[in-house]
Amino acid sequence: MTPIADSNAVRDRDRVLPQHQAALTLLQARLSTPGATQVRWLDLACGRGQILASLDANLSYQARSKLEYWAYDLNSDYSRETMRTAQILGFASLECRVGDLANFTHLLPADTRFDFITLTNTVHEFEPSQLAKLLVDALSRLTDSGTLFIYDMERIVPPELGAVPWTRDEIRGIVFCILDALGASQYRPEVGLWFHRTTNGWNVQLQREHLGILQDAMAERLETAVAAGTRAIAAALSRRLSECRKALETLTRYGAATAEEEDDKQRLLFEFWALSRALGDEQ
Amino acid sequence: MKIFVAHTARDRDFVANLSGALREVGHEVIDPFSAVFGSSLVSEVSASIRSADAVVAILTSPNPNVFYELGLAAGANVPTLLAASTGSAVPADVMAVPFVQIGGEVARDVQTIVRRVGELTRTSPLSTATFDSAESALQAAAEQPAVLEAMSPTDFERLVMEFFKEQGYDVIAEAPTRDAGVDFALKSPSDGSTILVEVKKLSAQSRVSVDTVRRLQSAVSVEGASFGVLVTTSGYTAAAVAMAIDAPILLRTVRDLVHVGSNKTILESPVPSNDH
Repeated sequence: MTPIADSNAVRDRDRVLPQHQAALTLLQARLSTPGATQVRWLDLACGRGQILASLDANLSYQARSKLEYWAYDLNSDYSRETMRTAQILGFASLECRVGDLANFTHLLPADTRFDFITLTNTVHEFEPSQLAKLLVDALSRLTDSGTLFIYDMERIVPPELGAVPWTRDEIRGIVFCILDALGASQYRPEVGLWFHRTTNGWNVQLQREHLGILQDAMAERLETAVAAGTRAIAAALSRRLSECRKALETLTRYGAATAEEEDDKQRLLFEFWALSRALGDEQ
Repeated sequence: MKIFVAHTARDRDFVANLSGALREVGHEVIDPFSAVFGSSLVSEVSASIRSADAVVAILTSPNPNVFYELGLAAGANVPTLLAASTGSAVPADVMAVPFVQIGGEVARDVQTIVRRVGELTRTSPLSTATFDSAESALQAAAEQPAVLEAMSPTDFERLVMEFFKEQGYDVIAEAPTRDAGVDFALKSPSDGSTILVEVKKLSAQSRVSVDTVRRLQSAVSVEGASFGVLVTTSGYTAAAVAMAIDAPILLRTVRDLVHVGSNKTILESPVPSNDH
């Protein structure tokens, strides 16, 4: 993962983003399970800790005291800010790691698995060539009953240079491809579409127990799953680049006829760069 | 009466009070800021205005959206009441339209508007004619723009879906619809292949853009459909038409549908004619 300079992590104490609300609702259910004494949560790409912004109101002190919170981000300043927020929330424990998201699994203790992993508003910033590995690594880090919650936007407004947002349908194809390669073709998690004022978002929650494979078997299939997912991603990128190029070609020839099409032109130019950059020498 | 209230974000609080008072006396209120319009906002706002019994335009600042909505109301012959604060510029073209001055005392201003709205009456209500088939409804819509403009995008989408059913196409029950980012899917009667359909209800002056064609093409590819069909009430930009060339996309207007509707092969061509 390389940082995208246009991207800014949100930090607003008075604002709970709907995607964070969704993640915290899942966490709330897990913390409410009778007998649950400890829940280990990995907040991948935690940014400036926006998901914690109102956690003192969202979850009771008792619930928060069951949480082992692990924050992970590429940006050390952001991580520090997240930790500062987390320190006053009364978590059972706090851990923070700073590093490339692509390497997150190498920067965490090898035997540590998580009940809940969140990855919100980040997939578009991730290098597509490493996205399958990120997803597979995250799945392999779940406890037997763990959940991976992912949320991102279909379109970034305003566009960010180098960002590759995915549509709900594309993500579904990629996730299903990875599940097939892991031997979990019976598992077809819902990938939801959410309408926002300026864009659409998608989400998916992957439950480790529904994969139906033991950890050892999963370890053996990791490479295959990453390769299959990466191939699916490369195919999707190539198709998108071809469509994007044709759309820009038509706009070059005929011009933008409406204000909407003028916006399209800008967005297509951003996308063309992002896709070209992502595909690199494969073009 | 159905009242559309055109206003800026700045007047939200005032309009909340006004809406409450209008509802208390039995009116239905459409507030573009609180209504859930889905993705075709412009079209739905336009349809809401055209189907309204009256429009109240709050002119506390020269906001282009409010003026546009005022223009739509004038074009659709919808009775209108202007409410402007002291010193606000009222465009010369609407100086003769019923007017209320907002003095700043909210309760009194609201009651004045409610009373004046009651005095407004629709002079030429839109036709509420019913049709015996989707084809005849589309035919009327193609010939009478007012019928089309007053229709909500969802109603228009349903009408197009019914039209295809009448033409012998199966609307796939478990349709990818939103799943594929399109409005609905058809099964071809000739070979059973899947056809994705995206319906764009736009104002007559609008044009479907190149990116809409690209998104449908992408959905066709991701879903493995045989091709996609765009149906619009308006037309297509030159870039959009060029984008569809050599792509598995057909571009159709309402007029295209009703003029060749009796021909069951309307959607069987894998390559669009692109003669729009």
